Amino acid sequence: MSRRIDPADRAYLRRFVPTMALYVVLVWASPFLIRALHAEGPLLWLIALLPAFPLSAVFWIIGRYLIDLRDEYRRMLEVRKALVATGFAMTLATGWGFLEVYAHAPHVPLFFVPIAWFAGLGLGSAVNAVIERRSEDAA
Amino acid sequence: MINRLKVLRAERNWSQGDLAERLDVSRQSVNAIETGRYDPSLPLAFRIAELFELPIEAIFASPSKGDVA
Repeated sequence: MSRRIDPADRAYLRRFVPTMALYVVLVWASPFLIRALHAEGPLLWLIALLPAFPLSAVFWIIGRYLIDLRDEYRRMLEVRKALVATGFAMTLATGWGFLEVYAHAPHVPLFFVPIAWFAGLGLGSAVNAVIERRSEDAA
Repeated sequence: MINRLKVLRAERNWSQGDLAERLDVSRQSVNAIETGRYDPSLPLAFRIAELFELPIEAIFASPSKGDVA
């Protein structure tokens, strides 16, 4: 495995790339469809929900990736990354929520919470890299 | 967890990559185990022990006793 790509990485990319591409398409298409179809009632709800499906699927894809990873240490690193991302997104959501209620901060749509979570994955990667580098330097 | 992985590997002139290849894990994993910042699962500890043909306690120090048998 040291020189080969884990099949889990390949499967992850195979699932992630088209799902995110679909998300981008639906984010642009949904408002257009709502206007073009003069959508109302259940149809409006359905079209409004469309971008949520691929975005939610990404959480399943990440869960699947954690199950598929054969290397247990790399799995631990991925779990730590997800925990950092969760802490980051929840902290932002909590802080902003109170700012909205008590300080009249502008309202931010809730779908920014998962987007903050994805940004938090980057922070998680940085945390992993720092811990790895410190340990390698100490060795 | 304190272990003798680095010594055992050096005795065989294996790089971390060589050991990782034999254990079917990443080089990153071998490094993490050697430096004691990751404790392998029991199945992986058994794979390591079987590869070196040693009992687990001859490779990994008991957390309660603190030394390698």
